[in-house]
Amino acid sequence: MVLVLILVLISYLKKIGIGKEFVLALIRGFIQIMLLALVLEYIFAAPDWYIYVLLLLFVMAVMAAHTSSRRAKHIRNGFNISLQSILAGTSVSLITLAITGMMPMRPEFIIPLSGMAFGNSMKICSLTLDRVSAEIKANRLKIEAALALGANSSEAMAPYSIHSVRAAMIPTIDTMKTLGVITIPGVMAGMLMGGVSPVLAAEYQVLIFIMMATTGIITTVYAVSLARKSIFTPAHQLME
Amino acid sequence: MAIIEMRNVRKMLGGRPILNGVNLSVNKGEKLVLVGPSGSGKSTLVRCINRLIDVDSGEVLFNGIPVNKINPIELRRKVGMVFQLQIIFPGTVRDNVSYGLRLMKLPEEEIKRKVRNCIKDAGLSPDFMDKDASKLSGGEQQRVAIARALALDPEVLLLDEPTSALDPKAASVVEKTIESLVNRRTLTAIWVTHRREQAIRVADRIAILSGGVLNVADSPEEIDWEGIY
Repeated sequence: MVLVLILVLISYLKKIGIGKEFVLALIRGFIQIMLLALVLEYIFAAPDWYIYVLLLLFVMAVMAAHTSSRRAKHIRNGFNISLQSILAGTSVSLITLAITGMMPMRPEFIIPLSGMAFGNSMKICSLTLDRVSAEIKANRLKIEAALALGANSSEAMAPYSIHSVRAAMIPTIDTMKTLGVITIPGVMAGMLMGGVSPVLAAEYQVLIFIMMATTGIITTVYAVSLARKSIFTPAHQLME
Repeated sequence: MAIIEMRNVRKMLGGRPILNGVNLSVNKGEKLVLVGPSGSGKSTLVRCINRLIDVDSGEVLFNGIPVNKINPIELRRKVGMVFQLQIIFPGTVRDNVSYGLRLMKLPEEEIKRKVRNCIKDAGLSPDFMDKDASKLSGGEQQRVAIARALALDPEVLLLDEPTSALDPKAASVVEKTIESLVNRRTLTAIWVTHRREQAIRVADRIAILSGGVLNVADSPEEIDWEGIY
């Protein structure tokens, strides 16, 4: 409450005008996260928790795909592309974590790890589709010229596919470079506060980032591949 | 048999009829020049020939075969295209000219030989081979684009206003280069231009596209140039 008052006071004294908006956002955010906490408490204690977890994963996937596809307005079938790409990326990573035992099959592990995977995958898918859209728009003539020289759609789009994948992965790679330098990431911070040893917490955090990077690369490569089919006809023509 | 035929071709773009029953027959070795007002559909027409776009109805034939029955990649190797703007890929002149050949996965020696010949045919010195293509002048870049299209040994060359974006001196050089290699290689050329004098200079026949309909004149004197422009 003290911190809230400090923010409101600064906003008022400096006439910034965000005090009211902040308080309303705080109330809204608090209600949302408390509702989530209550739902999670119920799920964690339920004997048939796996049904709720599956339902929650389904909702996460659909919401992630919906949010991602809103950035891909110029690409046909944006929702389907996003959903398939996000599911491809997250399922490979999560199944690998489950099989190797790095993700215990308990809801208190599955839900947060899946949330991180879906969230990251959604961001990367959004970046990918946004960038693909921009690359096609900016390089339409070059793509046509490549097609006119006998390139198929995959060959014509290759340089722009690579640019899009790189652009989508750069934020993840940059974040990994600053691990432990600027801030302590959330998972590690939470584990430290829960009394876990720093070394174990750090190992788990690195694992999380590897999971997110792997999820990301699968998502972005798959998204580009599916987007290509929405951009070109089967006769290797740019769609009008 | 005509090498290129269009029979009652129709095409709508943006809800507007661009080609409205176009009929055209181009003989092997002929230089057909296509003229018409801006926005009349000249670029659309040539793009229908190499299937960069498809017609809505009617038929386009290459050597008597409907183009939609030919593998589009094979078709585009046989029907080459040079665009109005100088479209250059990243890399050297050699990289650009060999682009289509590399896609065909030809042996390296054959690629080198074809690239050398095409650069020469396009009026460029062998010294240009390893130059950064993006740093060449407009006229030089257009000749690289011509060499690049030639490298695939096309039977037909579609030229969509190949000199329009160039200054008069460069345009003259490129025009002479195209005429020379088309004659030397006995290529069929469909040449889009909005320049009356160029049309008269290069054409065996001139076709006028206006109101979505094509009329072929037997001589430049038959054409109402004022009406076109």
